[in-house]
Amino acid sequence: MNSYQKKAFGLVEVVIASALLTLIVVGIQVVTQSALETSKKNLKETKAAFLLTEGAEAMRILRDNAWSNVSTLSTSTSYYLTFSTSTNNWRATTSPNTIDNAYTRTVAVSDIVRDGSDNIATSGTYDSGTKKVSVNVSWQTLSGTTTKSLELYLSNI
Amino acid sequence: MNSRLQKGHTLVELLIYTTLLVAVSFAVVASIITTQNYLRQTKEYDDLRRSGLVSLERITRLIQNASSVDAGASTFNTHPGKLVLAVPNVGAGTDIFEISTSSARITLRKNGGANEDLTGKKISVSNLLFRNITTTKGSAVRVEITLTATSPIMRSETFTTTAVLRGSY
Repeated sequence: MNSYQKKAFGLVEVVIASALLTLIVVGIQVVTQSALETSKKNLKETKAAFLLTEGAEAMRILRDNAWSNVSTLSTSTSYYLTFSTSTNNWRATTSPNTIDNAYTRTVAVSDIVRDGSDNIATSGTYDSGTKKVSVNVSWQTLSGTTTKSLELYLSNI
Repeated sequence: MNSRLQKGHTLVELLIYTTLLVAVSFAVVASIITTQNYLRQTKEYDDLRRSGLVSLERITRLIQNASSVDAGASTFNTHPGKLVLAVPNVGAGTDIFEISTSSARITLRKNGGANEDLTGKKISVSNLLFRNITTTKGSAVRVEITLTATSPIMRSETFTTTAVLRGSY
């Protein structure tokens, strides 16, 4: 009787022990899986950051070629940037494009006004020689669309 | 009677015990293998990201600090690309930086010195492309880097950016 009781207890112990072992191992697996997802996300963000600065540099290049490249852009339209490998130059276009099958980059230009002491302000006189440019890069993630933005001022030089 | 009952029960117990042990060991081993694979993939993604970030960041900063591109000594529009930059020194004079590839790695050379690797050991560079952009006011360079890692899965990632030579105005 005593021996029977002991063995029954042994079975319960085994069940608890294996349940614990499985729980620990599966727990570690879940943690490593989320670590993997994070490093995938980080890689995408790193690539997006470079595309974002490229957008800003491309707008600078447009300005360097001719101020009219920037000043004639509509302030109510989002533009896309394309690189022509035949002329080796950047161009703003209204036709959408996707970079690396994942990223969408848009640029938008807005007017700025200056106050009495020539500082950029919310109200004042319109300055035709300076524009505010915002660059957006967006891509799909598991939790929806992620967007990174950057803003800069460009002046007619 | 009592002894027979006891024996029957022990056999069932033994059966349950073995079945459970086998099932649990399979599940545990499978989970450990999956975990190991996840860890190796995480490392692969991190290697790709780090090599891309370090090399492209370094290249972009050099381009932005440069005053001119030596178009004659550089290789544009084709892989393996080569970029030779003249970067004004803080003290005096100009440093010549040479970015190219060597044994499938991106390397940097300052003033004809020793090659410095910009990408990791487990990463091979499958594409390094420079494009020379000339504007009315100055110049810029577009850089395209494709990095490939092979373990545990073959994976390629492309990093692209453009930088304007601030010293070229």
